[in-house]
Amino acid sequence: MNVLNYVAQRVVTLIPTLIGLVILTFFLSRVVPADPAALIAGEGASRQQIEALRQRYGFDQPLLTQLGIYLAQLATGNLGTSIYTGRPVLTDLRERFPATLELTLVSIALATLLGIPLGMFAALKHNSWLDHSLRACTTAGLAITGFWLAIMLQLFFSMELDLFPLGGRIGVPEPRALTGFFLLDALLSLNGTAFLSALKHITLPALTLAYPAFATIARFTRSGVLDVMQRDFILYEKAMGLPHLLITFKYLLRNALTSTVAQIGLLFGSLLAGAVVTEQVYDWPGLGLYAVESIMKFDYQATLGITLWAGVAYGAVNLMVELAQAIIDPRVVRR
Amino acid sequence: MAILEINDLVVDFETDQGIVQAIDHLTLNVREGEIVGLVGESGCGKTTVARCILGVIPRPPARVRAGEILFEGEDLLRMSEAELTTRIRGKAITLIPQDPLTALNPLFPVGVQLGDMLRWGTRRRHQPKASRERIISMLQQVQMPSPEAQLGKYPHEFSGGQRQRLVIAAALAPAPALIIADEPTSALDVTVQAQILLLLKSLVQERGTSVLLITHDLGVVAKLCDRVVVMYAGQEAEMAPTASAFTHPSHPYTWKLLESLPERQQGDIQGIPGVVPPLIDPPQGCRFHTRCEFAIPLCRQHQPAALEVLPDHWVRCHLFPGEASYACHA
Amino acid sequence: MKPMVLNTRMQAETTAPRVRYFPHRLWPVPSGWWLLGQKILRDRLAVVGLCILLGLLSTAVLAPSLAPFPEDITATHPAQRLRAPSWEHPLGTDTLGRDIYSRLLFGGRLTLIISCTVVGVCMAIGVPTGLIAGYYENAVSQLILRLADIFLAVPRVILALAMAQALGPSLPNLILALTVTYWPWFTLIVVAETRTVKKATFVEATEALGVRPWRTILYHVLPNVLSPLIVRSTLSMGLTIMTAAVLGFLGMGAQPPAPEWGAMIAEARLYLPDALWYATAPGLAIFLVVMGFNLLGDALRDILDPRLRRGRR
Repeated sequence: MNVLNYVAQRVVTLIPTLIGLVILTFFLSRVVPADPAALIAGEGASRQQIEALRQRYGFDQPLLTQLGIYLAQLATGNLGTSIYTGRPVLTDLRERFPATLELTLVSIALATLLGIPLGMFAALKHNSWLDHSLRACTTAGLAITGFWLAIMLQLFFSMELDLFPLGGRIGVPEPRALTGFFLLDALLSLNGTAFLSALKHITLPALTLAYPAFATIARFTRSGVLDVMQRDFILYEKAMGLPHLLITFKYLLRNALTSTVAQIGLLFGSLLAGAVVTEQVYDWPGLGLYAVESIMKFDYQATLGITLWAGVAYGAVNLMVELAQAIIDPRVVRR
Repeated sequence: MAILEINDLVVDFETDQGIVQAIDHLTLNVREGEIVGLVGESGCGKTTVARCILGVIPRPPARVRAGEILFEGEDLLRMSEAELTTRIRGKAITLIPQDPLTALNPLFPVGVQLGDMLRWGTRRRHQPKASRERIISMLQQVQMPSPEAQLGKYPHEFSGGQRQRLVIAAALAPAPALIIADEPTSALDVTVQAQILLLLKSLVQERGTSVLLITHDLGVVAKLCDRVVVMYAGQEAEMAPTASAFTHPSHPYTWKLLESLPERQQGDIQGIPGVVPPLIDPPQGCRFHTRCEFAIPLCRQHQPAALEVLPDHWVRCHLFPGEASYACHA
Repeated sequence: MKPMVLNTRMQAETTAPRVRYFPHRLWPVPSGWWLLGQKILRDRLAVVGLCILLGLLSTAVLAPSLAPFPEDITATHPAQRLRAPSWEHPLGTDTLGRDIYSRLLFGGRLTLIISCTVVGVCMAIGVPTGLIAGYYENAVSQLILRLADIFLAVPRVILALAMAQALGPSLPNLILALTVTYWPWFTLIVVAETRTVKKATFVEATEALGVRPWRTILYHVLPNVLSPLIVRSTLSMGLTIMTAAVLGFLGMGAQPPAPEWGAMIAEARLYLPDALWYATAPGLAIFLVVMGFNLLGDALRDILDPRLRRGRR
């Protein structure tokens, strides 16, 4: 079928990009003016310790050999071992993934559920007070830095009002691990306290991530609707007596959302790769925090691993977005 | 006998540069079972008229200042939006749009669109199955090959001529009293045009549906229309049966239009000198006087009233002395 | 869309090479800066944005005279640490007793330097690579596109962070890291616009007339590409500032005692909730500046590139 071909094509073009990504990151992380082994060993390490580290991690080999070894490892699915945690990077990633995924899903869901309807109504009631306030709100949303918003939210809701916890993912013992999503697991095992705690803990981080996402989604929806409202087919449908609600929610919406869907995909992809600073501020044990820690600690294997993961996540999500667009808009694939 | 009567319609548009007086005391009518052509240059207001009839003109920036549009005796301009949607649009009056490629929604199969239009477009909502059958039968009548297969296709998968047949089918399916055809063939090749026009004519005559055919092509008018209304700059210049209009063009504009047809000329081709006046600041008096070689001083001062110079042949021109002109002189 | 100016001198190409070319515009562009200025001023939000930016510019330039305590960039007054806002210190003092308001003003300079440099260098890289990659369809063009794809495959922050960490935290390294992070954006924008312009008939015409490609690119394609590019550059200034702040927050970039806004927020974090003015002020500053760029960018987009209207009518 045409669609399968399309997907296969895109996957094939993704692979060289990912390889290029690995090579790039590899050289990036090795282009350190300082001695990598010394950095890992830390201050006050003796020369023998540094030398031992150097041999252990293969820093004494020529750069290309190191790259070759890494790529060979990669081919077998081995992402190396984290210098810091001592465990395979793959295990680390797998462990931290659910936290990031849960946060991403909740944030995107929030942003979409608010963004699309509000964007639509703002467009339909063009230049009303709703429209103007939404525009102000979204313009602000795009100008706020994530970590500052996080800190402000922590300040007011956590420190001052004590409504939400300061950070972390849950305050009581974790619910039984069925899916890895605390909220879902708590519901499924009917664990009320865990659910409540998980909910409280996820609120502020989700709000922090959802606000800028909401701004983007609402903006694109609004302009999409405004754009489509003027098109000929809307006029024709109206002239032929289709009820207003039908036109708006069936015919207008699908046309208007094509660009919004692409944006949602992009947002999803970037959050999935790790909302770096937000996780740091809220001490959320996800991939973003892992990325920061690895980079800061010169944990090469982990850095490579997380960068590769980010590339894969982003690429996969982009692929799904293109797929969605191909499904929505029949003009895309049939070429 | 008149199914549609437009009396003294005045429509303005508010724009940044001022108020555009788009339609100025327009009067025309369409009788039962006839095809009336509405001819005019681009920008003379033809599409605006069509939109006013259906009530789909955006109220700001447009304003209907005066006049009435009577359809089967009722004034469409004073009808509520709800009434227009439930009784008129897509039911009693349907539209054949200018460019079916942009008029059809690109993201939905045509079957869905036509189905919706029919289901919501009759006095009684059809069941999905019944309306599907009705559409298929309609598609057969517009000579669409294998109609069932076509229902699942998307608009861009059809050729221009096929798309036109689709929208004609959509316009005829609810058995309307009046069809407004907005330049139904300008998006087509000449060869396909003829086919489509003949098809339209035969279907319409079968059913006794009235048609207001908007076009800028005099050839189309000659082939299809029983009567023709010539529009210039928001006013009707002449309204007559086709034969009478072509053999006895009374308004100078009509006359010049016919003269400027390439078939009638030898040597260098000449058009009508001058340009259509900007409607923000239209000329006083008759709007054509700036380009009219027969203009007399009266033309600059007063708008001519419509005068019946031949049986059922109306003209708005001071060259035909009527009571209004005598009154002005006096 | 009627073009503003038609190019009528193309045939002179073969005989008199030193002829001035009037670029053929794809869509109407307000001719001249005067008209552009007028249009901007008519839009209220654009004026707000412009004012904010002019404010930033003037404070950055006049910081030494505006700041009540210009020496607080380096000097410390431990005795006055963490004072609440007062007449003397409009925004209070930080953990080392330095006046936050003064540091904020000097931080504005840093912000301006960082963002202008990054965007400037990115444009310098992006425009030539984009034009080449967009106009030609050969191996070089493919290489450029692949390279851009690779760089774009990683989320911005992670890439910038990895680079900054690898190079070592300092201001020049921060600028380098940000440039490396953002250049693909610019290149791809130029590529997209170049491709659009290339499809226009007048480009075919120039090729048919025998005008050499580089001339076409320089005199016909480039002017049409510049308008959308300027719009996106304004908007990406905001992004650059935000990413720079993130890196500053994480300790990369200009090192203390440099008054980088992100770094100031990081310092402030330890003293919440008591010294809340400490964390709020730099954040608000970042917010205002980015807003300014965004508002101006939006207005420019509406004026210069009507096809791209998003969120404004």
